[in-house]
Amino acid sequence: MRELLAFSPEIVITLAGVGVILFDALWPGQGRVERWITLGAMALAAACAVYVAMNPGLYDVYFSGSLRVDATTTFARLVFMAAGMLIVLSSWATQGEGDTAEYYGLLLLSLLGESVIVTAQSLLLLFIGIELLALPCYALMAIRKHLPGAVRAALKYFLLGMFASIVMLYGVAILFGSLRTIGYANGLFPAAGVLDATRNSVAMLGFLFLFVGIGFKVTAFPFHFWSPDVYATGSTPIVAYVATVPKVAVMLALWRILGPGFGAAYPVGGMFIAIIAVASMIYGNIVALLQDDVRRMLAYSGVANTGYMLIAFVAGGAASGTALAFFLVVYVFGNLGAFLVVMALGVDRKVSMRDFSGLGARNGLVAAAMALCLFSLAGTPPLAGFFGKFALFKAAVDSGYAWLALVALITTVISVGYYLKIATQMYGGIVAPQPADAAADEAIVLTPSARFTVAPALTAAILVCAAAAVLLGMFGVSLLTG
Amino acid sequence: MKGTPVLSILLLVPLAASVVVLLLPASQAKLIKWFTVVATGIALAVSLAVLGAFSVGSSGMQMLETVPWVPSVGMAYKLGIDGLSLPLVLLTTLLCFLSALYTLRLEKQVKAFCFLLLLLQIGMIGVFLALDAVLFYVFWELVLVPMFFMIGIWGGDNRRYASVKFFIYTLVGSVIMLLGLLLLYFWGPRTFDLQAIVAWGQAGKFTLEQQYWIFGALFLGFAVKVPIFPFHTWLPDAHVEAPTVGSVLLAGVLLKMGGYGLLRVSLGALPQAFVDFSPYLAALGVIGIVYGSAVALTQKDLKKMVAYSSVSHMGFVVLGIAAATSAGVDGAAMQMFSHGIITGMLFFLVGMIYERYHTKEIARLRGIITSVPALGIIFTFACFASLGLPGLAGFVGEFTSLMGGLQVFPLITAFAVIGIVLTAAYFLRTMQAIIFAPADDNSALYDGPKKMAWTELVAVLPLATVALALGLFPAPYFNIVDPVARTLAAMVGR
Repeated sequence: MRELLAFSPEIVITLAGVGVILFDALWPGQGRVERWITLGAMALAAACAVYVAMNPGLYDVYFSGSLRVDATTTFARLVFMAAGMLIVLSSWATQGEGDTAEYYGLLLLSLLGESVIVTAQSLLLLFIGIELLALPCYALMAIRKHLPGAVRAALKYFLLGMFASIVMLYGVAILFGSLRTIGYANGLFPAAGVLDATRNSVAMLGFLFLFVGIGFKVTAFPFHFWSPDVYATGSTPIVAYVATVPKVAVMLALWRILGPGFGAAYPVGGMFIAIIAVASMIYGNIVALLQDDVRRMLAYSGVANTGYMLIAFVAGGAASGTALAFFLVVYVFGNLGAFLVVMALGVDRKVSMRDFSGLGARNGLVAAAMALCLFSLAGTPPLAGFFGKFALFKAAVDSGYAWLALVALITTVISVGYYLKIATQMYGGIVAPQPADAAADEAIVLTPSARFTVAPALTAAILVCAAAAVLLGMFGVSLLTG
Repeated sequence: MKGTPVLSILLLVPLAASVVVLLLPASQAKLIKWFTVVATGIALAVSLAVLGAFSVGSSGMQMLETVPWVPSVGMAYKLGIDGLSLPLVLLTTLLCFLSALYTLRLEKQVKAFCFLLLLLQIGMIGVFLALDAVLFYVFWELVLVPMFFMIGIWGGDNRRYASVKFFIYTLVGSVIMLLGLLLLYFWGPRTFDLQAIVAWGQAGKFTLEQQYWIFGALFLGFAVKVPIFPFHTWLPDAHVEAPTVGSVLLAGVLLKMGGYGLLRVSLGALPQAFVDFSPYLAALGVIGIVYGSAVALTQKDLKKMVAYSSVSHMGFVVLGIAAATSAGVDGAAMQMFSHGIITGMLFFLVGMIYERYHTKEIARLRGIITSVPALGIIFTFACFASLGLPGLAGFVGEFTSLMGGLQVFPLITAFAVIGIVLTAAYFLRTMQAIIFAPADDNSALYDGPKKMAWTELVAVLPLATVALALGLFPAPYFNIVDPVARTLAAMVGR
């Protein structure tokens, strides 16, 4: 019975996921009903997660130590459900009625996979969770098959994802050989000095392989290479989903695996992550600066943000854990908001910087929300992004990685460039006065009559993201202290 | 009265008013305009109450308010006021009130404009009151947004280009400044409390290398705002395109934020870097004085001329700050205040001229003294004030700054004289042409009423009064500033 209660959110999600697909088989063409079932299930799952959190007796390790329910689990469940609901809300207007059952069913199952990732206490369960997360995403990426690039994006995502999974599985095998365990109830790696030199180096090799799989999911440089193409051509709601939620799950799992002391106990592993972090920050931010396709820009900014997240693993310590969690929430809402605005501008086509031209005049609300999300991502106080980054940088400095914080600070300044590019497009319209065609363009785009309307549900989802960026900054900072 | 959070009230008045404006229906333009006048009037009254409660002659922070924000990292909502910030707060509330009065003449999108005006006021007051680095930065950025929209929506023909240029310049500057503030935190006392940071710097706990890095980062942010040559190029564009009220507040208050930041943060926290860098700072100041006035001399556009005169006048501020003797700081503070008053007045007047003649071209403006005598007289007065006629406020500021400069950098300061001569030249030439020269075939026509409207008179007459009063009796002003100036000079050993 305790198990049933502790895992009630996952049970609700599973039932709803399977249920939606069955429902469609029995009564086809009821997209609206399925949508409400999905939303209801997510809300119910979130309520269940809160219930679990209110009964501290339920925080425990279950099924002979293979799954753990704790504060991190609750945190992740709530973030997942909130993000899931925003995705459903946003696809309200864009999803065709025909493919809804698979759409909602797969989305729910993929959320289940994320829950498994966060609760898992062994590498194999983690692997299963990652596959459960990824397989629905592969299919979802192609669900709008009439889109020119969708199938290709899905295929690319699938093949590369599978390859990464295999490498990761290989890493698990090596790690088992060296550590003789794949459980990580108290962190995977033993304290410094427990392993002899050979086992230590084998363990590091295994960690490297494991990290390939994880790096693929969180788009860390150089394992990010799939993301720009897939983001640019895949189905936008799913891209928004893939770009945000799995990162939270995998990052939290990685934190469970490595624990707060990894960098100190295993300098080689710590240095490896540090190098990946630096490379991600520098590469992601600089390449993002060069993009015109906004989805690609967000893909590279995602790489950069992964770099910031990885700082927590290098720095270690309890403060890094809270900083990471806070940054993840900030990232999810900021990025989701940005993607949803991109979706509002063009769900089936390339959205370039120019599409944002004059958005401030055409739809002030959406433009303001976009600006808030972007400036939160850029790390402008008092928005949430500032506190997330600040906490991470502080953790790095406190544990003696000042150089890492300095790189992060400087790349943050660079990142302002591309966020600003969109902001100036929205409010400045055409930046440099250009001849003929610009004048014509301006006339079409900037006259008040060319108001740009966005479906109410999508607007609501965008506003929620922007509100999160503001409120988390002003009041959520207590999360950092608590 | 004791214990009342006056400074928070000073921020709350425009904040509450901006919310009310947002809730009022846009069709009630007249109501919104009058409400804004009342609200900024209340803010002015509160700031005068602060002046009344201020204990003159003390150099420390007064009326401190602290509410913890994120105590674990030493972030707080901390406000305070001293002799350096008090005049700038008064300048802000006065100019905002007069701007609100002038806004009574506005027809286009009144609600949005009043909202932005109030928002701008929160930011400007906040910058001068904040004693926490993050809070300071938040207000600093808050100022940017309403000004961007003011230029971008109500500006002239080339407004889009000008507003974006303004935005990018100042944002890039301030992001680098944020970098500097974060370095102050990480290398410093691990708190964002500016007083603690200055105390840390005074204790010599920043290494020289750290000081150079931080000084450089902060300097870029402040230099763009002042603007210090060669970071000034956004200013003429922004001024020419900005609506009158935007120009008044931009020149009157926004430019002061940079000088204030240099004195409040850089000087105290990074004394050695400041001393090492001060000759270059002085040189940049003098280049600004000469360059600004030389370029102003060549301008055909009246508003652009006033804009370049701002670059020149802010050069005196930079020179005074660089000298950092008590006279230098006194002069810089005085020059900031008087420039705010005088150039604010000049921009109001240029706006009034433009409304009548629909041109800002100096060559086409003639004989204002005959067509609108009052405007001609006040404009003449403002020009004399701006060129530094003894007996008016501008002279006191420039003279004291130069005195400070001569104490430390006699050679560099000597070159500033060129600027003074050029300033006299372009103001006298312009005045002669547009005020007194008779109209010819080429000049723009105006045959409206010869009198100025009362909304125009109430916007400029108080400024003229202050400029005259301060010019004749500068002592009360120095009584307020001097204790702080001495403290600051002592911080860098001058």
